[in-house]
Amino acid sequence: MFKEKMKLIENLTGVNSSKLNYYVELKKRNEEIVKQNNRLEIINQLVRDINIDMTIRDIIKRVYSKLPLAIPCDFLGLVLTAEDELYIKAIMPATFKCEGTIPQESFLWECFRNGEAQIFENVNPDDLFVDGRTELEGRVGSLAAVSLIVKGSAQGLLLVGSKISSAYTPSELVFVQQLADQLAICILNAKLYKQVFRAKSEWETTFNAVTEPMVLIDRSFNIVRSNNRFPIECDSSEGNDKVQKCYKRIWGQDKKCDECMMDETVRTRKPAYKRFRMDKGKIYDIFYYPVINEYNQIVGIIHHVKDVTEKTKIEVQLMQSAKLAAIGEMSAGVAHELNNPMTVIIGTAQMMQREVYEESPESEFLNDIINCGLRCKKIIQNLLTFSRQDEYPFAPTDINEELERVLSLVNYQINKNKIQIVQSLSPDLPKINANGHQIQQVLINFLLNARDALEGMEREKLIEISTSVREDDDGKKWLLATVRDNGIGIEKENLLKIFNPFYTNKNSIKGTGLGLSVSLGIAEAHDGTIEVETVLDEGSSFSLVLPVETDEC
Amino acid sequence: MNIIKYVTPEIIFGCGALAQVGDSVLRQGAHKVFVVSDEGVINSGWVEKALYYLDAVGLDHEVYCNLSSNPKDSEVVEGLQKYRETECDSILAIGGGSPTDVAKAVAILATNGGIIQDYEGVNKVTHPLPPMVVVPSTAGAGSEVTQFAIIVDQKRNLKMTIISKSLVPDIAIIDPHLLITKSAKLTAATGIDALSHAVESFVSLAANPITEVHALTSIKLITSNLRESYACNINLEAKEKMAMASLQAALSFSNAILGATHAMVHQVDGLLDKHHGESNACVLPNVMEFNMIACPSKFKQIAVALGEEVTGLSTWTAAEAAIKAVRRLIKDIGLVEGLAKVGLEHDALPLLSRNALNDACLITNPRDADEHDIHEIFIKSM
Repeated sequence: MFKEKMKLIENLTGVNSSKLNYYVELKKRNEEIVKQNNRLEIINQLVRDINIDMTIRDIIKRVYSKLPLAIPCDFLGLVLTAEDELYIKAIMPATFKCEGTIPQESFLWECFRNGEAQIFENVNPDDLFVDGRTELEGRVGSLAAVSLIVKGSAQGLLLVGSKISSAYTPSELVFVQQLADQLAICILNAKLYKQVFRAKSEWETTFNAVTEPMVLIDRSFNIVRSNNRFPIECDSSEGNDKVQKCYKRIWGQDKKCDECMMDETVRTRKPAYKRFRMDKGKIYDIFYYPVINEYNQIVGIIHHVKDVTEKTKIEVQLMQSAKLAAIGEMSAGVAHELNNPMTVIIGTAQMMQREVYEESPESEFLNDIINCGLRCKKIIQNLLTFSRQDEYPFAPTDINEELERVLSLVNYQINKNKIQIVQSLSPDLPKINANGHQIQQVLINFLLNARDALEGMEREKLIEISTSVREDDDGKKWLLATVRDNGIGIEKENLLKIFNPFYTNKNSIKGTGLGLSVSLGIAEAHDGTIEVETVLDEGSSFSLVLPVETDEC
Repeated sequence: MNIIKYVTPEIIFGCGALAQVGDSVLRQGAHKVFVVSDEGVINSGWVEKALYYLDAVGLDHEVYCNLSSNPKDSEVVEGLQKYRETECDSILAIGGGSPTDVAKAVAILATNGGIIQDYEGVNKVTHPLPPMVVVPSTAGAGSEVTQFAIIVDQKRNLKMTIISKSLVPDIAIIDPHLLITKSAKLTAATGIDALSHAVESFVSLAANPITEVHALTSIKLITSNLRESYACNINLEAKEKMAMASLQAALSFSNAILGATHAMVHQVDGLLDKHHGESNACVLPNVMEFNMIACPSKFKQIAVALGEEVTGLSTWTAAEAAIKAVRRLIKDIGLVEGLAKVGLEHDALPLLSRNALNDACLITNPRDADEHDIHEIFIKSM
């Protein structure tokens, strides 16, 4: 009682207290501010350190390495929410293991729901659903839990724990909240970055998946982006990475191509298209697609180059086949029409011959009429056969026979030009599986080309026709049907082009430029090819090379 | 009591000391002064004069004077709001106990926050207060030197006592000139208030040699000057002496605390909103009677200070002379005798008695008093 009263009196007279001093207050505040500054500096450093492409785990790892500079930290966890569940996304030290989702009854859920920063004392690691108690000697002395707010809604919790009790004051809690706010921004950024990156790579993959050259060029012909599939003919070794003009990179030109349709595309704001024929025989379809931005301005052009050489070739073959079919039909008709008068002529001549003496000159004339008539009939017969509309399947074919038939068709045209035909046909030529009429078509083409090559030659004109069998090193046998002339030959630089559709050195009345192109198509359809040897001014040799199926030999 | 402590602000005393107000506030490092006063003081022109001195040193200021005679918590709230809105950084109180206590309360909340009720009791203030200069306009309250602030809690209808060393103002400027303007009645009431401070702190359980000197000096000065001051409003010498008496009484009770008189009167004030000098006059002699048995020799010293002839008298008779002298003085200066006349109802006494038991001032009363004792004294004082 006495002591109590004395205590009260001491309090009243202020023996135990002093007037508060501003210096001390100021010092205390200053220390607070310095501490606060240090912490903000650490947040700053962390934010600087965190790269946009870091994973959340890496971010937490980085924070864990720096955080002890600011506040006691032996444990750092990031809890995120997804589909009405809470789970530990990342945890440090790394010896901890996360154990799935957090049950509804956990205090973390309550903390997440009420959204207030909270300090917990003496937390059992079991309640955090992590395993790693050795690090914390069985308990978390203090735990600060703050909400992770992303775009105004709680996305999870940041947990900072310490071995020691009462490690966190409200001011430390404020710091943890500030840290969490910054982390939320970093995590959001990382997420957005990943989304954008994924979208970007999807587009790039799509772009690069196109096998033909496709480039985005600006209005000054600079290549902004490309799928790096430039035409093989272009020299792609130099300055691959540098910004390059499209005409240089794609077409190897030093200035804007004459045919460029960029201006037209810009003017019409519509896609444009043009077909280019390159000197080397390639045919390209070139597309110009305008790229229009949100302000309705054309910011660039998608330049798409499509190699249509093959396609064109096939189209031409198709066209030629149709044409040949028409000619065939016509000549069948003509042949049939000629057949009847010819029968009458021959029949009449034969009847007249019976009326005259054998030795009489009339008999000789009539004999000529009959022979020529018969020859005509044979030619007509061949023509009819050749032009028959039926689908001829592949069948065992004697190439020598086919050559004979062809010669009977074109012999006259060649002889008319005073060309001597020399035949050296291999007598034991194996039959091969082929479409006889297509083979004839190729051989006719060879012969007519040889005739044209000899036109106007001063020297004795010669066409040598030969057949033979060749055996490769690996034992594969080939049948060769060769037509050789001693004509003008072919210039080296043109050699590659001769198989291109529409290439011809003949004038437009005589040639279509399709013959060799179609012939090569036929040869390839027979798994064979066409070989050419040529010496300028000395002549050329064209060989139809077809495989011999050894089983049938 | 082995260990004693004595607290005091810087004190500037003397006629014309008001002129020091500008420099004093400036020296505290102030930029803008929150001047707390009341209508009465403003009407007397002292605030205007003080502002002149503030202007003279280039200090910006804001006047808050919406106060009643017993400082209320609502006035503190309003004052604080104004202090913050006007971005003041120091406080100057000019006036009696009310403006000073409101100024102290505003100062507490300005740096500590919360509501004033949070600081009721001892040492609840945790942060230093803004610089505070007090210019008293009455001789009696003593708030300019004390570590107390008394604020009425209007909801609970009682006076809260806030005690903290930080409530001791930085500078007290006591200019007796300011006392001229008081009415005779106010002079009487504040004079008796000062006397009660001196007497109660002298017999207080916490009294120490320093406070006792001040207390006795104060009683002597009051004895020989209060009547004169009451009688003639322009008796400057008497006024100056009363100012000194009031200051010394305040220095004494600020350090030695008071007793039952104030414990009881605080309750009456809470109820009636009257100047507490009048209530003091009714209660003081009766509490002296009650306390005499606890320390008769001290009362004998009081009697001497009151100018009574005690030679040859027994200690007891001398002590009784002190009480008589106080009663005579009260009567001389025309104060009412009896709380009933002040306006107190009999029905209120049980509640007041109970509340008085909880008043901090009762702790240092020399004689232990229970609710019944207090009630008895109240009845005597009616």
